[in-house]
This record gives sequence, C-alpha cells and structure tokens, in this order.
Amino acid sequence: MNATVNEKKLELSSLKAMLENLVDGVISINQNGIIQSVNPAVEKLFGYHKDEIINKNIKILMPEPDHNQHDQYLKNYLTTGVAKIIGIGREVTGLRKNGTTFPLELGISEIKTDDESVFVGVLRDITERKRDNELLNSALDSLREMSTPILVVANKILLLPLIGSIDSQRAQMAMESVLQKIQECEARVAIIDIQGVPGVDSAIASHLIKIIKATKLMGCNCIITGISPEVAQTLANLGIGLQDITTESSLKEGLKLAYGLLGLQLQESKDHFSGMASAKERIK
Amino acid sequence: MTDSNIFEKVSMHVTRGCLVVLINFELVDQAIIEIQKRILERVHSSEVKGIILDLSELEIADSFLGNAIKNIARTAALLGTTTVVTGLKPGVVASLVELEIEFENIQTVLKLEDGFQILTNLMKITDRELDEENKYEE
Repeated sequence: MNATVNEKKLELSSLKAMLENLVDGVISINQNGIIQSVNPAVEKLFGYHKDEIINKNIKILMPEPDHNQHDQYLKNYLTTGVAKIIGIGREVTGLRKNGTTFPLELGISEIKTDDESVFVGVLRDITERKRDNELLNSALDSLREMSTPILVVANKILLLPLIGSIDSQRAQMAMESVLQKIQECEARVAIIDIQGVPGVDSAIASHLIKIIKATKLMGCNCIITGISPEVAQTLANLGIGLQDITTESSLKEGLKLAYGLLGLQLQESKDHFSGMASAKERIK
Repeated sequence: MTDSNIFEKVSMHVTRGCLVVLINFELVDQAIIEIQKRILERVHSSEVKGIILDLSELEIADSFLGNAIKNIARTAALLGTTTVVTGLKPGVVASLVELEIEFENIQTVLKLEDGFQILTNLMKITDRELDEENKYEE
C-alpha cells in the first residue's frame, strides 16, 4: 500500500518537474474559460506573472476577434460537442501583457471528470519558425525568378539558358515565360541552352520535350544546344529519342543554325582587327 | 445562347484560295461538332486548297477542341486541303501540351499573315508540280 502511494508521489513530482521546465507553455482552464493553472513558460511567453492571470478568463491572452468570441466557442463546444480545435491543433495569435501579438501553435486536450471538464492547452511560440519560413520562401521566390531568364539575342531569336537542375515547377515556369516572350517578340526561333544543367535524366528530358512541343505550337523552331557528351550518352542510354528535335553541340552552332532558319547569315570577319574597327566605327 | 447565334459569330471567309475560320469565343462541345461539319462542307463546295483556323481569341483549350482541330485537319486532308492553325496563345498552348494533344501534321504559326504565306507557298508548289505533269502529257 505504502509502496504504491510512494510511487504515485514520485510520478506526480516528476510530472511537475517536467511541467516546470517545459519550453512550451501549458495552461489549464475550466469549462467557463477561467485559468486554473499555468506553467512558468507561460509567464515568459506572455509577460504576465502567474498570479496576474490565474482565475482570470483565458481571453485576456487573446487579441480580437478571439478575445470576444472565446466564451462563445466554449459554449458551442459544450452544447454541440463539435470540436474545432480540441484534439486538432491550430495556429493562433497570442496577446502579450505589453499589447504585442505573436503566432502560436496551440493544441488542446479535454480532461473529463464526472460533472466537469478541464481543458489543457499546450502552446508554442512559432515566431521564429514563421520568420524562417517566410525568409526561405522569399529566397526561393527570388531564386525562381532568376532561374528562367529569356534573352532576345537577335530579331526573332530567343535564347533560354537553363542553369541548375530542373524540377517540374521550374520547367512549368520556363515554359510559361518562353511562350509569353515568343508571343511578345513574334519569335521564330527559340534556342534552349542546357549546358548549365548538371545532369539530364528522363524526367528532365520529358520537361524539355514539353517545352519544345509548346514552342512548336507557337510556330517557333526550337534548337537545343549545349549537350555535353555525357548528357548525349545518358539520353541515348535512356532511349529518349530527340529525332524531331534539332540539337547542336554548342550555342555557337545553334545561333548559326537559327540565323540560317531565318534566311540570314552570320559572317565571320576574316580580319579580326578590321572587324573590330568597323564595329567601333558603327557605334560612333 | 441558342445554337444559331453561335454560328453567326463564327466567321468564315474564302480569300486568296484559303478558307479562313475565326473562332472567337469558347465553344461548347456540340458547337464544335457543328462547326467542324460546316467547315468541311464549305471546303468541299468552294474547293479551297487551304484552311486557316485562327484561334487568336481563345484563352484556353480543352481536349475536345484539340481533338476537333486534329479531326478537321485529317478530314480536310482527305479532301486535298491543308490546315494551318494560327494565333495560339500561351495559355492555349500550355493546356494542349499538358493534355498531351499533338498536332502531328498541322503547321502552327503565330500570325495570320504567316499562315497565308505557308499555304500560298504550298499552292505554288502543287501548281508547279501540276504544270510539270501537264508538260509530260503534252
């Protein structure tokens, strides 16, 4: 008998120690929304001393609109039994003593006794996590923006240099922007340079093929350039046929071909210096 | 919108030996079938050598429209007529590619002007071939 009482005591005090040292805030309220107990983390999170909030309505820790609605939320739950947050968890906003608000992740569980319910909420400050997420998203956004530049290299010739690995989202963006640009410039030739793509697998190849089909539908000839020997080998091994697709090993050759398709000619000046001189003359 | 209204809106003109069809609103499936029929009848009666389907007013395409275009081209080819599709917008192209609809033998160009160019070039070639054949017969 004594042994079990001692065991229970030990269990209780270890639970208490856990609560005291938990980083997450723990609050218990009765079914009228009155705070029964809080752990030290709650004091730190909200800036109140626990004596200031115990026996107060939990809504003092909430900004509008929850501040005014919380009593109703409780009443709704107690009458209908439909849980909106209990056992589900949700992101909510907390209100500190100094009036500032902060994002919280809140989980609530209900402890039922015979005639009463007690609700225990566990809260975690997610300010940092949210900020990190936003930072990451904006960085990803700017990366994505940078990742699909389209250059108009000559009248009716577009160049799409692809750098880095291509996932379906990037491929989608590249396609959209290249189609937009084709329409804008009435381009006749689109050169896709894949020299900067580290490896081409069947997924990337199928993305490329999609882009090429789309440019064809826009009445544009598509040339793929910058295929390294390794990539050529992989494509051949994968059995991906690029038969209908014009490919050139280098961008230089691709450009020459593009000019040819438009009935223009790219002329190499025999005398490098006189070429430069005449070019400079023209600039003047 | 009643059916008759729809067809008044689709303009079909025979010019420079080509039938130019301008589809300028989103079509319901039934209308597409009807238009398909009318185009082919017109091709047959006017003996044009080329069809230009101008879709520049459309913002998006579905598989039904895509297949109808393929169908028109295939059937027109049986009547000895070449089909060129002009003015596909990025949204239309993206949806066609997404739906994996392929216009195998249909030329697509951006501008109506280019569409005419392709067809007139084609007609010149056939004319020349015919001339040469006639020579042999003489």
